[in-house]
Amino acid sequence: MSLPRDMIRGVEPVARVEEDDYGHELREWLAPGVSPEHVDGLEEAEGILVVARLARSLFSTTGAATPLKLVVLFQMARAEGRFSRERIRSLNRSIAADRLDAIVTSLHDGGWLELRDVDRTYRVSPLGHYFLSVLRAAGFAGQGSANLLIRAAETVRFGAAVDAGSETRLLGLLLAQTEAVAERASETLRVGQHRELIRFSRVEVRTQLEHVEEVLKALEERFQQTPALFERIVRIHEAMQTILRAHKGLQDRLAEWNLKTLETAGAGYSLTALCDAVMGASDGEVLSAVASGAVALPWPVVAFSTEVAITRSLTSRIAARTAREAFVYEAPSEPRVEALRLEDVDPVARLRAALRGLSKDLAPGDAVTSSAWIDAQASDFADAVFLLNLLARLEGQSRGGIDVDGVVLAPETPAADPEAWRDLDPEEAIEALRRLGVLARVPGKGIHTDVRLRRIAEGGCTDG
Amino acid sequence: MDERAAAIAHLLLRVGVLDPDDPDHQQVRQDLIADSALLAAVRERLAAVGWRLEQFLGHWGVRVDRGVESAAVGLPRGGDLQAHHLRMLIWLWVQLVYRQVEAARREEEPDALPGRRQRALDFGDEPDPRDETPSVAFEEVLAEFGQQYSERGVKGMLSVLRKHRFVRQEGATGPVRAGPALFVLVDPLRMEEHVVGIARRGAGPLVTAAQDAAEVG
Repeated sequence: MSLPRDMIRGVEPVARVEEDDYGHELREWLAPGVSPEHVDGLEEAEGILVVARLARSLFSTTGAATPLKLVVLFQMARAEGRFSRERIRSLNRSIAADRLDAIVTSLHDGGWLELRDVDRTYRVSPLGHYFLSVLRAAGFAGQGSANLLIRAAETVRFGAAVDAGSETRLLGLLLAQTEAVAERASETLRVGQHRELIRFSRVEVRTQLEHVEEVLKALEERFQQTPALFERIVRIHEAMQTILRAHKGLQDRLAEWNLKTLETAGAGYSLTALCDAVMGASDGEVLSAVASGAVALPWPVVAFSTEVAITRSLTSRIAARTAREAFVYEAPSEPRVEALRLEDVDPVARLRAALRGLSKDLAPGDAVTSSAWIDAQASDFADAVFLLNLLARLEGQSRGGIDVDGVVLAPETPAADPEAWRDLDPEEAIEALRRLGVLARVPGKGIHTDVRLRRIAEGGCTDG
Repeated sequence: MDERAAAIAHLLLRVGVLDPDDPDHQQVRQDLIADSALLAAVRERLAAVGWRLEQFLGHWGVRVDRGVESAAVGLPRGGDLQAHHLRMLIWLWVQLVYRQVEAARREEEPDALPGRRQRALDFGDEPDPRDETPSVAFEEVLAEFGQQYSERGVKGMLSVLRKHRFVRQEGATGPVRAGPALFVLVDPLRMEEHVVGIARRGAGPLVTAAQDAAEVG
């Protein structure tokens, strides 16, 4: 990289002033007995020193000064003619006047601006112009992955020019960068929503890849002699093909999506525009969709005819099939309301009623066994025992019989001769006594002595 | 056949629209498609009571005849559907139905989602059955209506539309799909004319919608 002669001439006076100090300082930094001519690369490095003063002036110790200096330089580099301090102020009104004066002075002292004494006007020096354009073209901003891809390619290009031994490492970096972009492209195509596709498409991967390919072509001939490097170039090309395929897929998907979403055949409005219009419409405009018949709101059935009635009666099958039969209301059954009967709640009254029923059809002098009415009145063994207990109590308290509404009933227990049954088997004896009417089986379980109630022809005893 | 026609007519009067997920309803749909005499009989029975059989893009249902509708002044209609519900209904119609209408006009596969074919070519993906039906993510609805209404309000509006079968949705935050009523109760030509008319006139700010936001939210 050689600078134009007129540019070099512009910095010569300054270089001459500093030359003696530089030579003296350099000898102090070198090992004893080593002259500058014997240091490899020093001459090449000294070629860059022509911009050292410019760089020192531009990159100030305060962060805000550097960008503002660049702003002033950009303005002056773009505009025609020479610049007085007033003109510089008029071009940079956003910078405080005193600070702007300081910036101009600093840029002049740093070699960026040349001053013409005749009219006290400035212009950007030729070397300043060149250095400024190099800085801008380097594009240090935007460290996105796509930009990094170009940076990697440029690094290979310049690295190969500067350092012939660095190709392996630099190509490795370029390969890693290319493969990372390829992987991201595939992933975006696989799962990306349309917004991600658009975002990825906007990084202009295709342009980046064309640049990378151009760099690789330029280097390919040299690298073909080195098999290891050539293999890396081939792999980079493969990764680039993957990226291109993914990018083609993305473009197709976006084109298809655009066709579906951004065009309407008849009206010429995109669906997005129509949705925006709906969102921005007034309530009146929205409601007029109903009035115009565009939307039919859900209605109840407004007509009912025999057809409907017949239909409804016939469609119960469908309802039953889908287990959605309508609920049919049935009125609850009316409870039976009757006068309270004392015998339902009072055991004594129940016994009295039982005895009344028993004595009603009983002729004077006749008797009835308890089995006949206990079976009818008692529901189980406990109930039967309870009735018999009540009967025994009445019997114990009465003197001449139990008076039931004027009819006197006298309990009597049939007797059996114990001696006659002594040698009998107990089971047989019980069965024989039951046959004779001495014992009776009660509901549920158990056997009791059968009580007979005999109606007495005359009498007025109480039942207790 | 009369009995079958009467049963179908009553079913349509009872449910309004045939449910795509109900096998009985789909059987009715198949019967109507296959038997023109049955279709005519059902139409006749419905017309006798002031209803009209409608079908659009494979969805069947009934809507009140225009004559009956204009004559029945004062009857309750729409119930709880208000302006903000209608706004969401129309917005969803554009997203879910009008897109299919436009695809059909271009003689494309109506249910194909963007990129499905390309993705299948690139990766050999099996198409997801859920992709067959166009849907709008709940987040997208919320992003659009969330500027005017709270999330609870948006869910409430979707709930009302679900109740009237304008949309189908799995859960309160699942993707929103078109319900059968969105096809049957919306006249596509009139609605297209209405929406395009709004777009032509140019829409103002959502003043009234913002006022409703407080009520819904």
